[in-house]
Amino acid sequence: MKPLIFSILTLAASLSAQVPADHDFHVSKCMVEYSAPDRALQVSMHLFIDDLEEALRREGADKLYICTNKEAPTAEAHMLTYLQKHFQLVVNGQSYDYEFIGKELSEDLQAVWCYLEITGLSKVESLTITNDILMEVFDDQRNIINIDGPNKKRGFLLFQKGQSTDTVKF
Amino acid sequence: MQSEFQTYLKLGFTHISDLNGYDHILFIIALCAIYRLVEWKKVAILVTAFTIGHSVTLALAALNIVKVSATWIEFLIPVTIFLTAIYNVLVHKFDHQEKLFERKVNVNYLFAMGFGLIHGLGFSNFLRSMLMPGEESRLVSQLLAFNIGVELGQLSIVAFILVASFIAFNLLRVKQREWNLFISGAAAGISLIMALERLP
Repeated sequence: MKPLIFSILTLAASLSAQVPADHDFHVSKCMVEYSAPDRALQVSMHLFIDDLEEALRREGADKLYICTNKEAPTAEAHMLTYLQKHFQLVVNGQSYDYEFIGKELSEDLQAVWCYLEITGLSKVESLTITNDILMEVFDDQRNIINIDGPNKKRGFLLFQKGQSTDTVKF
Repeated sequence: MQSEFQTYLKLGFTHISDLNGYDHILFIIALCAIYRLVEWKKVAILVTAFTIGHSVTLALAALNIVKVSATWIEFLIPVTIFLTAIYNVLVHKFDHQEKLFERKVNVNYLFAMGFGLIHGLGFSNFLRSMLMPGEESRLVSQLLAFNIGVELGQLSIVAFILVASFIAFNLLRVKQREWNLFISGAAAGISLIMALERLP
């Protein structure tokens, strides 16, 4: 047993500072749908609130208490600024600003759904998505994008650090 | 664009092989510590037993049939690693020759499957957060792809460890007993600290 006890003690001493306390993971998911009747590109984005607040804190916006009754009046404006910086849509080769339709607390109370929309799109032939949300905060951040495009073209994009933009043709 | 299958396969693969959340990697290292490269078939069965275990609970949890507190799961995962490592050392203790010892392979399979049940509950928290709303009907195919990704990730970790042990035994002339004590001791130490830090 001696070698075991020795190993445990040495490792306990050397690793105690490095072991992660919890097993958290960093994933955002986002649905991008084209609605032909509304001539609109509709986005639903799921972001963990603690992660988002950490990102906004780094941008200088602290104590936002997103989706609580203490929520700061400026919270949505800060969220939109952050989204515009890290999530961009180029439709048919042209960059568009989306509108912030609203937000909603997720069922498990851990995340916020953000709803964004671009209207007045009679057709979508190509779509370039850039999504590096939270990647500046977490090296292991993954952003999943589920696309439901025109002509029943559906599929996924999986983004990570260094690979956060892609173009889809419909 | 990629298919749903590709996407969830990749997520499963990177989730298990992610160095930031290395508890699953550590478990596989502990499972493999008593094997040599020539025994790769046994290890493959062992890892598959682990996969069967975690697939069962991952499916049950993702379908909301069972619900266990994440705090307890996060605590129990390092406990499984610790017990596996201690088992490795005890098996060696009863081996008085320096040769290969007789292994209670079946006990090890049960270990792997039982502990897989616990790890699966850990994966389910991850997978649940990736499911798209209104896509509940896609759950099974996403689950399947995720699991295959996890299995592929595990097999590559196994391959890495067995090759490392091959180098240790054949080039560096390390004795199998010493290798096991070193790896299992390290796994026991790390998992003990993890467990203490995650005490519910």
